[in-house]
Parts: sequence; structure tokens; C-alpha cells
Amino acid sequence: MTACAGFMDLDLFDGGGSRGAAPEARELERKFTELVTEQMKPVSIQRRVFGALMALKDVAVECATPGWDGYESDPLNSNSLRNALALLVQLPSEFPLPEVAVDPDGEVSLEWYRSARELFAVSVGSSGKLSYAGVFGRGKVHGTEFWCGEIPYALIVSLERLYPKKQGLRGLFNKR
Amino acid sequence: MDSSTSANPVTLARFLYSTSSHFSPTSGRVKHGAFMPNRKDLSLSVFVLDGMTDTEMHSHGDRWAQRSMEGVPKGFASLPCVELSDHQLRMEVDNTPPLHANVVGFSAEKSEQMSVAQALAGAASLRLKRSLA
Repeated sequence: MTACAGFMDLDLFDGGGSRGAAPEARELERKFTELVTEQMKPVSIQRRVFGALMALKDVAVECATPGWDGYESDPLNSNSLRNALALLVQLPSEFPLPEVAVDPDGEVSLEWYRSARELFAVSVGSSGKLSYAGVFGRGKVHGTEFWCGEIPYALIVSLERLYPKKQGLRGLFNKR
Repeated sequence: MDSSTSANPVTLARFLYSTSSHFSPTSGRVKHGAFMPNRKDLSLSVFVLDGMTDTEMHSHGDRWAQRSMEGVPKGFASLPCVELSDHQLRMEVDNTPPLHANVVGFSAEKSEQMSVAQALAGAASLRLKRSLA
């Protein structure tokens, strides 16, 4: 049994439980399952991304209804979820998987956190817009890219700052 | 409890409800999602913490910041108000409900909001209720 098949067999959603209306959670479950089937074909990718998907599933249930954050937030956007899954599948294996969350506007947020002064986050929009911000010691970065099926170079550069390679020129420039 | 506020608050409290987006209980940190502004009016709802213990602020949140779906806050993030001016933000106290204020001045650009929220989260302290700590 592949990791993907095992994933599909799990009872991923509990119908929303005490959180929100069951129909919204069920619809999100249906879309989530559809996205997973669409994205996770190679076994190597399935295993790597499985952990992030389980975390995303928990977040999806929590954020399925308006106001989930206590401050008039939008529910998780299904197109944002689709784009975030596609990005996670494309993430080079040299980088660890991010923590997943949802922003008040319903967009999926991916965060790589090493310390209070070493972190990088990307917010994945429904239209493919990628808003990002990071802290690298005394340096900061923020900007916008667009998802076109591959992870934009600007995001790779930031991830390499956070996780410098042990060899190569880029590792020299990232020393702190 | 004195519900009046001073003209220049020193510390603010941002109530937290989401264990995935607002804070990490395992690492004890506040996440940047806790300081992302309301997308409709770009404001951040906070309370003035000055002169209150953590327990008193938790009780204040239970009374004045309970939500119909999310219930009472799980805790709050404590942040020195001086951090706001570093990012061109300001605090407008309205005392509706008591001790309430809004932080305004956020950019409409999301990546800038994220950058500011990361800085504020980095400067904040997580104050969870005893049952969750």
C-alpha cells in the first residue's frame, strides 16, 4: 500500500466535530481528498509530504468556518489549499517541511522557523500570489511572487539563507 | 478592577484563540498570525495590560473577549507598546469594551503586514492559561 492509498483510507475529518457546521467541513474534506489524489503520485513525494498534509488537514478543520481566529477571519480558501499542496510537492528535499497555518484572509501560511531571528514564511493566495517575509539575523526580506508551477527563485534564495548548504559559494555568503 | 486606561499605555495584550495560527504551545512562542491585521479595516484588536496580572487579564478576556464559536481566549500575547512605533503603528484606545484599543497603521500590502507581524511576534511573550501551559 502506498502512502497515498493509506492517506486516502484514513478518516481525515471528523465532520468538523465541535468546530463549525458539518457541511462546510465535509466539502473541504472532499476537496482536500481530490487535491491529494491529484498531487501525490510518486511514492517518494507521498512519504515526504505526508506529514505536512496531516498537519494541513488539522488546520483545515479548525479554519473551515468564518471567524475561526476569533477576529472576523475568512474560512480556509480551497484554491489556496490547492496551490499550497502543489508548492509542498515541489519543495526541494534539502529543505525541511514547514509548519502550516491559515491567515485571517483564508490563505494557507507556510512557515519555516529556526529561532526568533531566523524564520521565513510564505502565504499562498487563491490566485497563485505568494506573499513572503523573513528574518535572517539582523536582515529582513519581504515581497511578492507568483506560483507558476515551480517554486520562485526568490523563495529558494530565502530558504537557502535559512538552511545554508555546507558546501558551495552560497554557504559562504550565508555564514552568520 | 480599574477599567480606565492611561494616556500612554506601556503594554498591550492580544488575545489568542487558534493553536495553529496564533501560537505554538510546544515551543512557547507567539506566531506572526497572531499579529496579522483584520483584512477589512487593517486594524488589530488589543487590550491594555498595564497594572494587571496575567490572571487578571485572562479573566478580563473571559469576560470581554469571548467568541460565540471559539469560546474564551486560550491566552494572550504580551507586547511592549514601544514596539508599535518602530513599525509606524499606533494604538487608539476606545475602551469599548473596557481596556480595548485598536492598533492601526498597517500597510495594505500583505508581505509588509507579514514582516511587521513577524517582528511583533518576535517581541511578544506568550501567556497561556495554566490549563494549557
